[in-house]
Amino acid sequence: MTTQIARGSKGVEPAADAGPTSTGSRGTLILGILTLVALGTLALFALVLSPDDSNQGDAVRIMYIHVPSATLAYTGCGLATLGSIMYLWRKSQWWDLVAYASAEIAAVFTAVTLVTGMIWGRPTWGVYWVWDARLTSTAMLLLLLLGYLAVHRLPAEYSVRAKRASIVGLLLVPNVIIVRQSVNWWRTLHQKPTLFSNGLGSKIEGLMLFSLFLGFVAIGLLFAWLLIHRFRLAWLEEQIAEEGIDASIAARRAEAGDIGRWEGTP
Amino acid sequence: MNDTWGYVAAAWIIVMGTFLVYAIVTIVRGRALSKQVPPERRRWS
Repeated sequence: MTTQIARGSKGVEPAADAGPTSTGSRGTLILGILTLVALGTLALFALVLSPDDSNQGDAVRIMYIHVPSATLAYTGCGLATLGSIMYLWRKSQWWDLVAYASAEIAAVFTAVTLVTGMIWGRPTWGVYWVWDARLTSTAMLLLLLLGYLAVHRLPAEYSVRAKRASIVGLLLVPNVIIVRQSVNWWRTLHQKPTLFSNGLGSKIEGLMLFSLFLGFVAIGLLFAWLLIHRFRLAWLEEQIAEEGIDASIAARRAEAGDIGRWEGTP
Repeated sequence: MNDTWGYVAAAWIIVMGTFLVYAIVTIVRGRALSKQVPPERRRWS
């Protein structure tokens, strides 16, 4: 994360200029341009250059966004759990905000995974939804992520809600393991993993494998870009909340001072 | 298998549309909140 915010601190040394007027920076601008180029290249390979599948036909082209979205959703959950552990250990706001930003992006990616999976399921399985282990556990993962975000936003002191949310965040990685292994542990309609099903082996090759690899790169870059911006936004939100609390305390103190002076008047 | 192109298009449009909307909301909110926070508390490069 390319930010100069000190871990666990509430700010850094003041600068002479006015500072950035958004969550963007030169680094995120370059990353954003790379992301757009990568997404355009992905669309070219996934929708035009790669061949259709002998069994699924053109429906396989959904795989190039579905599988990377799912993988990045798991990555977001992993970061959220890591941030939660680090917050509970070090009590660092930096780590809590990493966890919070990661969890929100993971929720978006999980929702996208569910929707693309449903759309892919209709032409291949004949139905949009079945209550099989993979789909059900993914839906539960989305609910858990929404629960984490809700707990983090509950009206309470920052340290209290961060601690509560971090405890929920600890459950994310175990849930991801259940989602990932569900196709191995139970009999499901969902296919087994396309990649790494047998060690480092793959069920696809050539342009299809390359397009899937491009999907990981493009959506991975997008994930990184979103994470940096969302982290900075979360930082700004907390700064405003802290300033609001500071202003309330100052107002109460001033009010108490006025009352004390009034009571002390003969 | 031309009928599957409708599903492919729907999936891609929904995914890219979702990411685009989420990115725009994040950027716009970031711009709005940046005005409310003192410069010394929003330093990133």
